[in-house]
Amino acid sequence: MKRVLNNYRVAVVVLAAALWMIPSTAIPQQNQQPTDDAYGAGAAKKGMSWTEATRLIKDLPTPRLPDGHPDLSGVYFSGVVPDVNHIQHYAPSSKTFDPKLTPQEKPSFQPWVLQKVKLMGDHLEKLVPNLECAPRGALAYYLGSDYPIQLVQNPQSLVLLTESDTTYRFIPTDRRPHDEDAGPQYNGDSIGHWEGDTLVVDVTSLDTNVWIAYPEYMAWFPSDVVHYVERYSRPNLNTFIYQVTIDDPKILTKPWVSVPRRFTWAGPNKRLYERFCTNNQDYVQMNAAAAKKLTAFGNDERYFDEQEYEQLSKQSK
Amino acid sequence: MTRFSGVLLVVFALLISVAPTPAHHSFVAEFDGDKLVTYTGVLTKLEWTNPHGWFYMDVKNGNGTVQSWAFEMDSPNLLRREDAKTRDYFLDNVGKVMSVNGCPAKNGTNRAAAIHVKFTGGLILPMGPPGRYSGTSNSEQILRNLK
Repeated sequence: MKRVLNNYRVAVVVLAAALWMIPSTAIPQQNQQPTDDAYGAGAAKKGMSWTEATRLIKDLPTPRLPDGHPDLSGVYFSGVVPDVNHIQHYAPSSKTFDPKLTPQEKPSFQPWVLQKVKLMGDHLEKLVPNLECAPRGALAYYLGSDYPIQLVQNPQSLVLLTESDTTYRFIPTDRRPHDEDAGPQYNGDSIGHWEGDTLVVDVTSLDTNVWIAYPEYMAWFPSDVVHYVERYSRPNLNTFIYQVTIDDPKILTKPWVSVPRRFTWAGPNKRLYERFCTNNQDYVQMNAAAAKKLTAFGNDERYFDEQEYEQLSKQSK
Repeated sequence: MTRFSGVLLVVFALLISVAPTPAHHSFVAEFDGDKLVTYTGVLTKLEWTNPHGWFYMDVKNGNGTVQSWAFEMDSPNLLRREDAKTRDYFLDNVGKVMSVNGCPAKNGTNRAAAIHVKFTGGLILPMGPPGRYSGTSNSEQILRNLK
């Protein structure tokens, strides 16, 4: 009996030691990072510019997972936020880039796209898909959104959680190929791989019933061959940088490359809130009597229509 | 390409590229951003919903008739992060008199986009991006001067 007890005690000690070791290797180093003094807290002035705000962001080292890759995990606010406890959504610095510092090239559209947008009518602002609470698509959480995002990373994957639309994107980083049967999906099918300290994410299988990058560009609709390549990096503790290249030869004459978009780490223990779009009185007010415009082939005029594409692109040649 | 004139390209460039706006719909399509009107009345209801919150007030018009007005505000999540107690302020003020500066709806209905509100206790809060109102009046100052 005594021997059994001794064996039991040894087993308990071994188990406790094993449990103690797990967190020391599995918990990202982010948990050990400085907290209160990580920002230029309290120094933010009302309505401060992008450049002024950038100067207040402390340049602390990029956190890393035990596998050596940067740990992108965290909640991020859009733009440069010097004081994460007093968010100023309406300050110029809340934009993800300053066009004076990094001018953004405009998308270069195929002639038939210009013709189609004319067919949509004079009031593009009334046609914005999100007015009907429709999903905004894979890029909308980075381009043109004011809402925070959360990244959750482990050695095999990165997950994006979003406040806007209250949705998610799962990005495996274990070198698996695209899921050929995934599409079409509003958030597409993503796979990622590391190139140095940058996570490169390839996005395919995208639903065409969205407008890209609204409200930066109105009526930019993707085709069925659209393809995104995104680049994620965290050059320091407080900064997340996002960049995307949009390749869509049916719509664009050349790929569109975004300037780097900047986000600020919200600090530890921050969270997202739900933002389900359920009560859009604006749409009802503005479009109560308006019938949806259709293409000559009976589809919603706001989006890509293969037959219309063939017809209009032939005419414009 | 030859069929498309340079003029069309310029028109299209203007059409398709708009200044980024924080709102989720086009403010200018629905509200008159040039006008700023002060409404005073009794707060009757709050709808803390997305993509925009709404609150309702009974407002007395020129001939003494009381009409219900609906006021749009920014989305709850953005307002919450500007001031975590925004929802509580509204709930505590239901049944009380408050004032709103807002841009009225273009279609003449009893609706406006709130720019600032002033609660009974004197607290003034922004209800959305200040740039939505494009005129020169100082919305905050107008409410501060109200007795």
